[in-house]
Amino acid sequence: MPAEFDDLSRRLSDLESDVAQLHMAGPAAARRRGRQRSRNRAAAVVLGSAAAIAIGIGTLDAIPQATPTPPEPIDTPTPDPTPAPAPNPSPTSEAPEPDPLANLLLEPGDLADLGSPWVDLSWSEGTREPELGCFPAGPDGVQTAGVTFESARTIDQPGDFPVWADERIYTFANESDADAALSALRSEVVQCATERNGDDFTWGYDGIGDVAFESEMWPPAEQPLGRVTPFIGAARTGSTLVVTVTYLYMEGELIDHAELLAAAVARACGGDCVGEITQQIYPDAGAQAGDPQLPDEDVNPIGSYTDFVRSDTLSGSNRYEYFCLPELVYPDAAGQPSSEPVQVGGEAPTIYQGEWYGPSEGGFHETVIQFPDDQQAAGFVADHTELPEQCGDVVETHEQVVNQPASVDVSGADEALVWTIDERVLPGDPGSEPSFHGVGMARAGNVVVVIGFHAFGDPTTGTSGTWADYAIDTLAVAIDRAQR
Amino acid sequence: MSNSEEFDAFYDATNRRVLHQMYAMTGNLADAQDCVQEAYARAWQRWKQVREANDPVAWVRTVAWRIAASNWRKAGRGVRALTRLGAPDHAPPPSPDHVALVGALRQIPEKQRRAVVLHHLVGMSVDQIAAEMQVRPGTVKSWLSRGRTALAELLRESEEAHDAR
Repeated sequence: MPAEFDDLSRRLSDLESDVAQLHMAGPAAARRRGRQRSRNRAAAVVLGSAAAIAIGIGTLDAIPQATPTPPEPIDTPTPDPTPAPAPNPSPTSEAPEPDPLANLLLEPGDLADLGSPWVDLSWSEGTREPELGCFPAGPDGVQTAGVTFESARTIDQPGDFPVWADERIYTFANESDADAALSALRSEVVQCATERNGDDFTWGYDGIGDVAFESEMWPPAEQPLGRVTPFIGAARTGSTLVVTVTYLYMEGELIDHAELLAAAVARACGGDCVGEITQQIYPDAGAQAGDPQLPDEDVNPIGSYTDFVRSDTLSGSNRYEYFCLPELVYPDAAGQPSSEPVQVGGEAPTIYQGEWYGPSEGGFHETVIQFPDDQQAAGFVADHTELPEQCGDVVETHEQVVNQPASVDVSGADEALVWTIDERVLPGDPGSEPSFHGVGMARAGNVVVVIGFHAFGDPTTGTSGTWADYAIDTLAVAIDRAQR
Repeated sequence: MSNSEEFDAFYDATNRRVLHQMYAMTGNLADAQDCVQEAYARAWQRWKQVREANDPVAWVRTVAWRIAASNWRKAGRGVRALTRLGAPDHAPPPSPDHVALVGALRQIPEKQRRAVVLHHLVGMSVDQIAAEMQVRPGTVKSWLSRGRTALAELLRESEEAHDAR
């Protein structure tokens, strides 16, 4: 490790002396804090239910199953007095039709088989409350089936146990569509938690289908939740998406609520897609989840230039002509939000473009292209291994030099190219400045990322490396992000 | 050993280390203290799972980081870190060198800061950081490279400003 890195490590280690002077409460305080949060959450269940009773209708905070239950909780059918005005009508509220998916749903007896604390709770099928807070709406236009369970146990009895559970199954045309729905559901959960000024915490699970997560939603620290929040699990197995929601009543520790998700997925796939379950922290949704393009912090600095900020809209400029990529010029995109894919019509690939500008002259451009398959993506790269002698219009008093592409290794990419275009000023045009265009292109599977930078002179030389160094670094981050 | 005794032993053995790491990652002792205490509270709530994890310290550190990042997002990106400077009121002020380092850390993007701290303070390899941050090693290398470059420049400027006084 270079000496300056040793120095950085030493200086970071020295920060320990600041920490040493800080009083940290002991482990008992941490345990009390954990218990207190659970009690706050449990208290919120009671408060939310009381509020629902007081106003006589279901609210975002209400959970009917958590209401101190009157006698005969099981035998009383629960016709919904206010048919659901839900954004996505619940399958269980629709007219009954033969549904093969319904055979894949859990039954009340399956919940008792989950063991403690699910056992001995007298589970029965119930009616889904459509306006419960943070309940994912689910994708539209796909085949669905669903079931809701209620526990006969009431929250005036002490203990840690689930009081209500829900399962939904969605089938898609392919795994890719199911993955997209899984990602959308995750964003929905994060948004819901954020709107409640809480934060979500999501676990990933290996061993449950192909990919699985379960989100817990937490109130701000030391603050009662003030409403009921569910624990939402989702897993994809093949092209099928299984979503479970569990409401827990807690006095102490959390129960392992992933058991419900695992059981539901096992039933949906016939049992062979659930194995040994291991838990890990799920990737952070982040502030820009779902955006395949680079955040500003990964664009800056570019050589001696910095403070580039992504433009909210596209200019529709012809800059890509000067990058030797005229096929990426979309003048019709002028003015459209840069967060939306550029529409090129037909069966074309999905294309995202972004433009970054800063206080200095120059600009940065990124295009992310998601091709239908790897072959088309590879073909796009192959088409740029040799460039024309001139790119874009060059004024008579300038001379353009197109430097042919070089293959480079980019971490995470199957192949990558970089090239530069220099525009020099000929004698007789003393007022002009030379300009520089740098381009990088990387492919991973069916995804191609193109980055381009233009400025007067060559600000990438003599500062923090050459254009190739910058492009290799930036493409590694860009291709990683574009594939999420 | 009971659950609580086991948790207490884990807490006593690790909390200072995690606090130190979170201080470097957040650039603020008060924020670090709050995030770390909250992370341990959550660890206790699911202690049965955490104690079985490959690396319970990494679990607590990651949870603490998530809590900090969530706070930043809610407060507006970086606003809280920039407005709540330094140590809690009851702690003595840090040394000028520490102020310079923490000030520089706060000015680099949070992902770069996290990668730098995990590598240069925690001692993790690029692959280990990639696993903890759940990105590719190439992304970690890029963040490390940029973070170190930016830190070096900021520290140099800080030293020049100090020398000029």
